[in-house]
Amino acid sequence: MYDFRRCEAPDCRATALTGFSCCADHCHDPEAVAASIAGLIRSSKSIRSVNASGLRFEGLDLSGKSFYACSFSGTVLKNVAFTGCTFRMCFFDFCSADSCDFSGIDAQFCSFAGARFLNISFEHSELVHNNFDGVRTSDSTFNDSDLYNSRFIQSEFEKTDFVDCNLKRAFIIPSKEIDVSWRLSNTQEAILGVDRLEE
Amino acid sequence: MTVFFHYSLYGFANVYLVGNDDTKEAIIVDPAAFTIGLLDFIEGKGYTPKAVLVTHSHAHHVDGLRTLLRIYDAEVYSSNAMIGEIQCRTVRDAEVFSACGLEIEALSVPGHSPDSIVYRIEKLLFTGDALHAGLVGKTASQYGSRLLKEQLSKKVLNQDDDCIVLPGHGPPSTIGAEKLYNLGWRTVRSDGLTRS
Repeated sequence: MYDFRRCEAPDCRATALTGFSCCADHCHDPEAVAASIAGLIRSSKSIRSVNASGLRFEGLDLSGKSFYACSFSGTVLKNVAFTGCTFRMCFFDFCSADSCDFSGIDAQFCSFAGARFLNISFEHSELVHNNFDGVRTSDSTFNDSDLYNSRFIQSEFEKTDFVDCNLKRAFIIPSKEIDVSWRLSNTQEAILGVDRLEE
Repeated sequence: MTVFFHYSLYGFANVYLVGNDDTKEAIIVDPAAFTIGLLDFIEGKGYTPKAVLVTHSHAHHVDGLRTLLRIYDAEVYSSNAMIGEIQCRTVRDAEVFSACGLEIEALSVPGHSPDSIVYRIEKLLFTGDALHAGLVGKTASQYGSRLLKEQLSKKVLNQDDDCIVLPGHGPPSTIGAEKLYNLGWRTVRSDGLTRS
């Protein structure tokens, strides 16, 4: 995992960013910090244990990279390409992503809980064992993806498609659905209510 | 510290390996069923298991213990003195102990089972079946349900929002997300509708 060293600001309980002694809220120049961490990510194909929580990234092409135990929680992502990336135990909780490309990714055991997705593509992805609880999606697509054992509890979908997805053991318990297509997906194998729990 | 997870098809349970990168010793959390897949997983990481943390003694989380202990010389930590014929080092609520050079806090959260323990290592919470992403653990009675929610509120949800929840089943989460989106906190109104 990334280092859980605490931010040096008095009374701050947040974790310090990788390579810095403070969190995103207490950095003097968050843009410079984001640029530094973006450089670190760009310089390597395999990225391990990087904490970039709360930073803003725009116009990055990170296609094809592998991320292990990294945190992008609370980040603002705009026009970032993660096309074909691999993610293991990575955290995108409460991030706000606009016009980003997650298509063709292989994400396992990751959390996107509480994220806001606007115009995002997850098409043709392996999204196994991931947490999408509380996500709010708009103009987005998960088409042709494997969502085995992933969870969409209290999520809100608007103009979002799940065409031809594998939903086996997926928890699909959204609180809002507007203009959503589940065409060709095996919704009968999904868990649509808490009455089917065995654990 | 490095954390790896393994998905056991027996009971669809999560097994975790927490490695101390300095000593190359590892803690296994809930060994589930001991399969060739789990052995390959442990051997492939390059750590030596020296401790096992048991969140609760339901079969699909502990069936692999016996075989694991025939291969590795590890101490088993649990709130039970014995699991089957295996002797455990008993942990109590709020006890802080050390294993493989890592400091661990045990938090007792009965309800799903009387012996349920959440283990905290830094900002990682191994919640077993007490707390899953979006759900609280299944209980056998309304008393158990109330008890579990009360214990989780007092001991687990009071952790920092960025603490990571690593449950016994399903995907990971964070305390901040569980506070907002877990269905377990919904209450039923008199008109039969639910509210968050």
